Amino acid sequence: MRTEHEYRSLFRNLTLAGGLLSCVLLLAMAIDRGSHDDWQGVQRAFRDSLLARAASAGDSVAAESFVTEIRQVSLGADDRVDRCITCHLGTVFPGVQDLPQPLGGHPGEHLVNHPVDRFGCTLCHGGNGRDATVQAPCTGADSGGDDPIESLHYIQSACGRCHTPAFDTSETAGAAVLERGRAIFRSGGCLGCHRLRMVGGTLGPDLTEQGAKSLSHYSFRHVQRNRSIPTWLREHFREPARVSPGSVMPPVRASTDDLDALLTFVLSLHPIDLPADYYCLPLLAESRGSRPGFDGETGFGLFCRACHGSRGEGTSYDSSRTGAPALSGVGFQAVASDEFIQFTLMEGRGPRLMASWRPVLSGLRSAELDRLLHWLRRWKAPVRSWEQVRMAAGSAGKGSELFDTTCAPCHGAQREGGIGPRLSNPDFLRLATDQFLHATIATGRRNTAMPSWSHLPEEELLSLVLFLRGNTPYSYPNAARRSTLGDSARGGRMFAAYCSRCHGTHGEGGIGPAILNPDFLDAADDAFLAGTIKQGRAHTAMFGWSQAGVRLSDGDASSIIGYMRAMAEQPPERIYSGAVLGRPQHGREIFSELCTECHGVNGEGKKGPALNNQEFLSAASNGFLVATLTLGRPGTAMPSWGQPSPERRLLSQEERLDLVAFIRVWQTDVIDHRGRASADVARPGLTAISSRTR
Amino acid sequence: MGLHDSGASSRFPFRERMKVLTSTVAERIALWRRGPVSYRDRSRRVSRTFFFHFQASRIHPFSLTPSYTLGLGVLSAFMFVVLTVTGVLLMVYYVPSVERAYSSTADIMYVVPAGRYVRNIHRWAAHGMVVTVVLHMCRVFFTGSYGAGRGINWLIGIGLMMLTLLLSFTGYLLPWDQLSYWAVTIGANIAAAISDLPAAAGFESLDPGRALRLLLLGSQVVGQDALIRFYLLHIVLLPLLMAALIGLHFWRIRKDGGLTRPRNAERSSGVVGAPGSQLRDLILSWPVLFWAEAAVISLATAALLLAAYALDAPLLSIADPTAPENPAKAPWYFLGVQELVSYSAFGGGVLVPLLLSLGLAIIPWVDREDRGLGIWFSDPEGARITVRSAVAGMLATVAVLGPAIGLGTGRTWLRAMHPLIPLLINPATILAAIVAGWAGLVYRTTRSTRCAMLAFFTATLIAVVLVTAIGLWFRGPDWQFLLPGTTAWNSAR
Repeated sequence: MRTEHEYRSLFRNLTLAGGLLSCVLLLAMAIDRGSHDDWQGVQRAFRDSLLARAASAGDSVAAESFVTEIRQVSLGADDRVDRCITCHLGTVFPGVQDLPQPLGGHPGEHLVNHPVDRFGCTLCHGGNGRDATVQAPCTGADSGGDDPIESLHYIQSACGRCHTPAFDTSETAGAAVLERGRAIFRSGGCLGCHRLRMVGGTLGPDLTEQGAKSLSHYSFRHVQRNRSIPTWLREHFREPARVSPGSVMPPVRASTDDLDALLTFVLSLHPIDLPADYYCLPLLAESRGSRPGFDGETGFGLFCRACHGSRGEGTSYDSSRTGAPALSGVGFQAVASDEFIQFTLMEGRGPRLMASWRPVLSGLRSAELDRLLHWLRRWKAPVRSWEQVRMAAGSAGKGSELFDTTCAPCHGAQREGGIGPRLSNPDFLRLATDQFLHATIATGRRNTAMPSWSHLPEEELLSLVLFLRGNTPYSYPNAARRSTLGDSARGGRMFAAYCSRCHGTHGEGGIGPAILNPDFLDAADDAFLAGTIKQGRAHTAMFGWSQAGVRLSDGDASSIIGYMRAMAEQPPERIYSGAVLGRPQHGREIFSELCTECHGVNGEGKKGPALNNQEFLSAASNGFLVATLTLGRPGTAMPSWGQPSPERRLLSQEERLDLVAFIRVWQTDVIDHRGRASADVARPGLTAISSRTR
Repeated sequence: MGLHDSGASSRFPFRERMKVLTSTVAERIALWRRGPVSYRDRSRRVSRTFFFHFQASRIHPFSLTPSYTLGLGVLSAFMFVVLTVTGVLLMVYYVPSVERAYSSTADIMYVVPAGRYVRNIHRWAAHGMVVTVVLHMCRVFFTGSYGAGRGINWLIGIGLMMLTLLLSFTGYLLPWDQLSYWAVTIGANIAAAISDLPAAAGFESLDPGRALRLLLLGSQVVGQDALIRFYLLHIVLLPLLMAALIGLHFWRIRKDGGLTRPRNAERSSGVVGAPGSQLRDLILSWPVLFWAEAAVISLATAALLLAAYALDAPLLSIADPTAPENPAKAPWYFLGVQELVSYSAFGGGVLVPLLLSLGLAIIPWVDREDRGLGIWFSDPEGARITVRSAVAGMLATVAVLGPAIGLGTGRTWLRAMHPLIPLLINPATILAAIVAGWAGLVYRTTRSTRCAMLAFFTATLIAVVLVTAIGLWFRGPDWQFLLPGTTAWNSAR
């Protein structure tokens, strides 16, 4: 313990030392505030330049009235305050454009249409406008916290914020990189998973406000290089699964410049948070859901291409987790009906990557979906008219050869029938016109096993018709094609009583062919129908109803025909799968021998699509399945099992029907066009379930 | 006329009066420069000056020993004053609305003249105050200055410490940036963890945590209500309470006879710390005590100015409720709690802190020995116990947290058992039990409550410091255990 005097000296000295240090620090603070590096220094340099110019020009009023103060632009719009012009004086003072930065002017003519007092600076350049110190934002990457200043490399994204709609192709002057990015986006199928301005898929994040997201929204754990949003986006495009673990996004294969253009576009996607007069009208309209000029090709480019390939060629299961089928191939287009495609679009494929594109889920309108459907159909060869085909050079002999390879797998080598009807039946040939034969061959029968052969050249079509015609001419040259129809309600009751047991409750086929099929009824005239009903088909299960049993009168037949024509007008409730004509147990053996390598042990899909998918099984009729087996999908890994080939064995008609029967066993839900499961199922082993709410 | 009358006065009255006046003024100036000299004047300088009179006019010279108190009490009070002054200055520009809180803070930092320095001083003084208050508590404990009837003041001090933490916590939210928002979200969620107990016991409908969070935040999420509430607490309620308790704290020190001192400093009375020590042992406060306090204040000012000049108070981007920070960390003084909470929200966040506070509060009534009062660590045995408790605390922390960290935070097997079990048996409670056990062991061997309390306090202190360090430097994104400086830390968010 020291004496009082010693303590007094000690503490007094400590106080003085502390006081001295404090004074030094206060002095340092004062100097620092007015230091050369700070904005006051910059403004003083500016004032000196003004004075120097004034001295030579002889007018020093402006220079001397220059006040050193913080200058800012306040945009009430979103409480923005930009103080950049405190140092970047050349943007607001005339006549000093040539001074070195930061005092110099803004390059280009942008400020003519985007005056600083209305737009500020950070709206286009990003960064922290409130900060008036120099060492921050303007100069480097280490800036404005979570909203760093945009590198000038991507500055065109700022133009896109107000000027560039996504679904429109209107040009934005001076934004070539942005437009390139938009073009890539529009043809990349991005919205198959992502969402933009109320349309698109729900598997990936919504991109509508992607450009407004700050750094906190991005996880940089797996990004190799510097922490900036453009880096993240570029790496994400290149390797999505690495940057976002668990993502199923396929990599975007493009050059670095193209990726930069794409990310410029993505960075331009902002919400509409400024007053409306800042935006161009197409963009405003688009944010409210207006999409003029949104045709099928646009839709395919925006939604489908990423999975289904830029030319509809599909993606293989090696490059993508579930793969996607080829849509443009002959095999698919010939076999798939419009209803199949429409059903697939509306229902999707359940747990698989193919989403449901219902308007309520995808944001697309029914008209846009229709346009997409029509665009998808353009890969199908158009059906030429009989008048055109009959002019070609065909012969029955050629037709015979063609028949053996093309038609025999279903219609039998001797035309005796099997999966398809008996074509050698004289009763049939007497009733069938050449136009009927051609229409059937060229158009096919939707949702049955008869595909469309419109992709065959005209000679071959004509040859087939001639071959089938053979020596049996058409017997009713003067018959009326379509007559006035009888009572269709009565016809319906008679249909249900007499016809449905062989032709199916909905005329979808069974033991007999599908006769309420619109394609059939388009091709068949009343004479054909009346003749078939009344006389029947010799040597088949179709007996003549005017002679045997019930003895239908002409009026009865007309009523039935009337009913059939009326039903053809109505869209069906769902896709009827048709009767199961094979033996599932035999099908199981064939499946485990031939199909599991690609389709998986339980049809869950391995290198080929999933066959046990309920949406698929509701979309695909048994005919679709049979036709797919028979024809295969040329151009993909699915071979043809009906046409002989040296590499694999041929599946007979019974075997193909057995396979289809086995596949059908996997179906537990029957989904109709409204997305609800129907209780109207007449199939062994299948229980109806309660309606599914969508 | 009068005493100073001289021959010339009748001819030059004005000159004479001026001479009297100037000589009186000169005397007064001389007096002022020299300061009061007489016993009476020096005593009255203290007792008759409003801002000095809460100090005693006579003190025991031992109280001046720098190595005894380290000036921590004065330092803490000074920090409070600095915070009040800078706080009022900040209030001129700060606006407590969610739309403008961040921008007004940014304006203070970037535009308001000297705003950056005022804010920096405020922030570093706030952190500094937490540190000095805790160190002050340690000093008071280790010198046994809670004894001899000073238990009430110890309680007031604990209350002041809680207020300091609360003030710091409420102030943390005000800048409304990402750091603030998520730190307060975590704090409120830890408080709401009180619901875990009734939920685990089967009373799911009982939800005190929800009510508590509602009380704290004015809502179930941090928003405008929370901001106003915290602002009100921070600038009005808590400072008033603080000032009142500080006044009470000082008053009690006066009533208890000034600062404690060891027995051998009481030369004549032999009674330790008794009020009314013999007058001849005391010296006048003026001017030594005030020089001592001035020294503390001056050095503290210099330190604060240095900190304010060199380091900027952080201001991250504006709070974004849709973008959580990863890792989201509570303010550093709560990181120990957060670390323990990562094992059990109730155990680490509610139960153990409450037990700890309770334990601290009852120290003066557990230990009534007054052993070695006024001496650091009481005596050599106490010093030994302290060192051993420090080591024990360190070992216990490592032993309990090592396996806990090794097991990781994704412990699915915990969910398989009845929820009450991990609630009551978790690293926090285990650590608390070990510390209590250690204190009991020390009591058993030394038969001294003072040693037992030394053991308890030291082990707890070391454990708290270690756990806080882990939470501060060793926890990265997703609360993973990472060594500082590893790549994962640097590149991750």
